[in-house]
Amino acid sequence: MSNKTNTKKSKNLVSAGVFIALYFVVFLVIGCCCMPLPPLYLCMSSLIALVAAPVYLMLLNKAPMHGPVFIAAMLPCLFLLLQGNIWVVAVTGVIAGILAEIIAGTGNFHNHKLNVLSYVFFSQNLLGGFLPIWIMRDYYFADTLERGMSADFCNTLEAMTPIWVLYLMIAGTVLFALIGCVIGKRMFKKHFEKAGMV
Amino acid sequence: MDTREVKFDLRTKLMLLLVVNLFLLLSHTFIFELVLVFGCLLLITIDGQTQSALHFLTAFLIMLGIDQLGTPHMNGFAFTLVSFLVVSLRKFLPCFILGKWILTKTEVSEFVAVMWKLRLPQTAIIPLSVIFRYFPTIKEEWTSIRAAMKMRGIHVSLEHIMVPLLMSAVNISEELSAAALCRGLDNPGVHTSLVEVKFGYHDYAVWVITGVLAVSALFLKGVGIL
Amino acid sequence: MISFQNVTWSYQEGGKSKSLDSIHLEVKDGECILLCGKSGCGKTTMTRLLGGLIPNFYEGNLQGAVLLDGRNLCDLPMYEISKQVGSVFQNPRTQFYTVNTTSEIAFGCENLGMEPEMETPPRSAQRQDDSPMQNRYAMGESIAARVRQTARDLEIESLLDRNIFHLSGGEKQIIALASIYAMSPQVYVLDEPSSNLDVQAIEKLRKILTLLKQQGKTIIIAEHRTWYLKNLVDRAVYMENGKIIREYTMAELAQFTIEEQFQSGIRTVDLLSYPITPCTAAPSNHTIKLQDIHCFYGKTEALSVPELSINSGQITAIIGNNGAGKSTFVSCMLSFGELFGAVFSKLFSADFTYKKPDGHNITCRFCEFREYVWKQCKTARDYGQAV
Repeated sequence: MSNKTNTKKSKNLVSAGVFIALYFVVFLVIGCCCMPLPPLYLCMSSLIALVAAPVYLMLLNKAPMHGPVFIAAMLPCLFLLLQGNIWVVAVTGVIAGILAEIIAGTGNFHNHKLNVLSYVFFSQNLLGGFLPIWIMRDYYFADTLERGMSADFCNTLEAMTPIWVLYLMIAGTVLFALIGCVIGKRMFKKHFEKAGMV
Repeated sequence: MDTREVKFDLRTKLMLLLVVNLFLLLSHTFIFELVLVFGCLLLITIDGQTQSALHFLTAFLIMLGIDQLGTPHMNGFAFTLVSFLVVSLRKFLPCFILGKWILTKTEVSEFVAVMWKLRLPQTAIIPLSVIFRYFPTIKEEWTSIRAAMKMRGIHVSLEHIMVPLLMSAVNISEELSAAALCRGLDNPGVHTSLVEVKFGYHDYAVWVITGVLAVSALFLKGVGIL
Repeated sequence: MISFQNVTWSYQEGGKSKSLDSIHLEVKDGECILLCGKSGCGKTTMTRLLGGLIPNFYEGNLQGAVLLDGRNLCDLPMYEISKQVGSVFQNPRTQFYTVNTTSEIAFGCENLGMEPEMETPPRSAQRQDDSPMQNRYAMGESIAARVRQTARDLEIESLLDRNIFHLSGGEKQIIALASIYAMSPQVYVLDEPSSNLDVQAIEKLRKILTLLKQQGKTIIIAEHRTWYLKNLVDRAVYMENGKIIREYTMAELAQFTIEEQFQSGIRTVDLLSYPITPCTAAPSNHTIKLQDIHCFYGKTEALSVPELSINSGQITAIIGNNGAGKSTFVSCMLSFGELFGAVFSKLFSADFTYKKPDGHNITCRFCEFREYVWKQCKTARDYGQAV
């Protein structure tokens, strides 16, 4: 009945808002702790992936539709943009969000394995905040190029942040996302299913 | 309302943020950077945020000073780090100024009104408006959960935080959506807003000036001057 | 007119336990009906049915029809129902959708797509005081006019344009009611609206309900507390296990003896007639004596207790209006006051004297006292769990 579908859709969207807000809070809390300290800064993505897993799983459970996942992926990226970050973060957010949507969507948002896979892609949304360190050095230091110091510059920076750090970050995020989903699934079984919430 | 403040439409601010972000890629000359920074500072001063503008100006000058005067005397690791920080922060200052302006000066009701006016789909508007509403509630729930944990002598762990938080989220979202649906949230037709969203003369002026600057910047870039 | 026609509802698809069983009820326009009975009797389910939450929001098995002026509500989408029926719920904290009171009052009107502001002059300028009641309270066409009128009629001008999170529970509930009022539905459905309110807030609620009755609105209210509805209710419908058992008038309910009240689950209608015997505190061997406790939230003093004795073997009730400091007191005693931002002053000059079970008098500092209370609470809890 078309009456009910829009009612159900609106109800799901309200739930979506609630869980996206929770995810955003996880991002803010971990972000505020991690951003000031350089070594933790690189772990930020992984830690968020771990803690936010149950929230994401609940989001898919309560709002099984296209849209909320994309908004959730984009929200921290938009926030970072407003904080003066580079636009690359929005690009990775969009890609991560769309991929996560497609993957979860193929299982109608109810297939647990597909949901976990979609979360793995979803949690790469903040990658764009770190990518420029490796990919866009020349943009950052273009004016120092004019001063003729870029070679020295890039070499030193390259020594500080070798490419394997990037690979490690991505792998770490994937690993912690999977662990997070395992913990999340256990939480669901132990608590939420008993309470009749899922 | 303070008559010294000129209220800009949210859509104007968002357009500016987009344009500034795009134009950061355009040129690396110092003049261009100055135009962007001072343009943004001028706008927020018109909107009444004079103190904020002064803070940003001071920060800009300090970073400039460090870059021009301080770094030639350093070398090696210190030089790399300091130069990196100072230069990149300075480059993104216009984005930061605009971002802070948008975040601090926009009321939730105005934001929601703009979304309805832009005819964004319900799928986007409802979650975003709920996020603003649920945000302060998270803190209240968190405090209650901590109090309950303390009362029961439970130590902090991921499970002990997440499970009550998620459970309360599920309950609240159910009650919230019920109350909203009983007030017509599921209406598939047009939703209006009490807060009026309209462009003023100052908005048109900003759009026109930005357009002119953008076109001339592209032209100068093409010609090779910029 | 509202007509429930042989309505049966169960929340499960199987239909095993019926929350509503063959309900027949007719409500005339302008009537005020009380739905009463023990917890789980079905009164909340009735309010959900009227408000459209059943069958659109809750899953289950529905038979029968609910007719409002001839239209079956069960066939209508919720936004259509909301134009005619407004619902107010128990919990003031979870009903509001926006962050600002004015936006909240306008919320329903905005959803229904009403015009924000009209060019024509406000109706109040044209209204005469001796015009019929319906005309005097007739709603304007624009959202802004409706918000203004709601604030005027419900006398909540001081609550406009405020952050909802800073309001008290009673104020939040009034705003919830105002939000429905601005939509001017014909029927108001309220599910235990006084649950989280103190006496003053209930009085405000009662005044608004009286106004609604004067306006000729149909009111259906599910409640345990009946005393504030004494002069409003035309009929009280008593329910049990999903069935309507019988109807009472308020005068009949007032005649209930204490035993009948207990059995039926309907609380007393006349508060003053309730027998309360004053008692004096019996002397006790074990006493917790509190002296000179102060507690601050920022600069505001939230708690000031010069002296208090709490005796063992007795139940000590801490009562008072909303905001009197009851929760602060409890959370301070249970040592998580700091979580809510409370700061204790004269922390180290507060002396506590308490008698241990073996008869010794102990005077100690606040932190030690807290540990003692904490251990007592824990022991009681562990004991309770072991039992």
